[in-house]
Amino acid sequence: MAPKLRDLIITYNNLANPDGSALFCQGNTIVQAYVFGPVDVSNSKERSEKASLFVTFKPKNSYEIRKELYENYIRTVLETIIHLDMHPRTSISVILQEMQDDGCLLSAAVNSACCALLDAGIPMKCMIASVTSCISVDAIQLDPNKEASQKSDGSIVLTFESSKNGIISVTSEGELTFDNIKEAIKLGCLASKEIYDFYHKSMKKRFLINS
Amino acid sequence: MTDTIVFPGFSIKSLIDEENEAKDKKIVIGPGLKRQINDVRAIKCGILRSRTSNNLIVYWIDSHQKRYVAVRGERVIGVVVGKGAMSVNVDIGTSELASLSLLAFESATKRNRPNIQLGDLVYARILSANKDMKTELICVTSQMKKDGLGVLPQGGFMISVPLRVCRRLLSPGCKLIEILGSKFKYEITVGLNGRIWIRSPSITETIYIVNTFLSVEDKDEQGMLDLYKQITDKFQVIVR
Repeated sequence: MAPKLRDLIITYNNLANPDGSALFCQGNTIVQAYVFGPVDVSNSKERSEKASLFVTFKPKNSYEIRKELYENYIRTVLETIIHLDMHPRTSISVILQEMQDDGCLLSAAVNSACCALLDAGIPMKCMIASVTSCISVDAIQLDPNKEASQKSDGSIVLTFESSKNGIISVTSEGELTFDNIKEAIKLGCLASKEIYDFYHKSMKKRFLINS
Repeated sequence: MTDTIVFPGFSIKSLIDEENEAKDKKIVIGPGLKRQINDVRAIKCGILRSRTSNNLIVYWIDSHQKRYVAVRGERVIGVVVGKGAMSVNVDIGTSELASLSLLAFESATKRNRPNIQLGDLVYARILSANKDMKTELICVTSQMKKDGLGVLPQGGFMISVPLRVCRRLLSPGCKLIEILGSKFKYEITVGLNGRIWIRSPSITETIYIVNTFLSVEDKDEQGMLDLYKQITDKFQVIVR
């Protein structure tokens, strides 16, 4: 069974001021990510042996509460893949602006952060791809929209890394059985390859136009 | 093998082995690549390039970076932002300010220091670049000659461009500076940190030259040839 992701669209370097930026669309979910770094950092947040990483997730409406859960999840994921030791006493900040939410917001945010980091030329060990699957009574649906995810019983977000195609982070909510999780991993693994292919294709396009 | 697009985590060992089989040359790993025990991996996204000289091959990655990271020996343009007794602090676009000793100028002594004001632009060479230490700049060559380095004169205009534009302008294949020079009278200094300083007799000419450099980024080889032709056809040299 071939996994079915919604259409992926990306624009690199769409903002002038940041060091790297990417506008990532996954179906109707759109996230704008931008990166500053490596830049100077205040003394209190400075770490002598490696760069400090800051992740900010901005919801669409400013009066909504901050999604600290998202920020922490993305920060732990990015900390494992960035070579933070190459730029000690600096800071790398990743800012993610939600533009539109139609399900899988966390996955789209992780993927857009990866693209913005690629664009900024931050040294990384590998790339990441995040996939959400939602589980209803009878079936598993990959990359659901908002309506489908609200109807389902539970959902699981898996983040894969590209070098060994291993899982680096998992978060889930709702009731999940062991078999559900197994199948979700199997599906997600195939879908993550599709996302890497997409990264490759989009970057190729960018370099061929520009060079 | 060159002009392959590589991604972080991509192992280029097989590519290197393929090309290097018979030649038995030394390999130099440049920016964007990292050695890991028995493997060489890319850590940035970009085009893998290589250059062969006498007995070594240099590999590096050409990426879309905008933020400069200091490299020893490169020539950069900096802005003086702080002044001390024996040295000045210079902003060269890296995460940290660089320091430039006042004795590192041609014919400078403890008594006779160069006249540097806050806000001046300096064209300097990077003497030492280390991730754990402050970057040091110098305005003389090893023979204590100035060789074009030093404080840039008044009346110029500085622009910031992506790093690859500067590398492109300085590459041997690029004729843009010469072609503009055949039509206009101007002075130019290109720093590898993405800064270009231009001085020409009138504002109109400066604006035209600046816009030409800003348009270079998105052009391919054919686009550059078109641009050369456009400049040669559009202007005539008037002897004043």
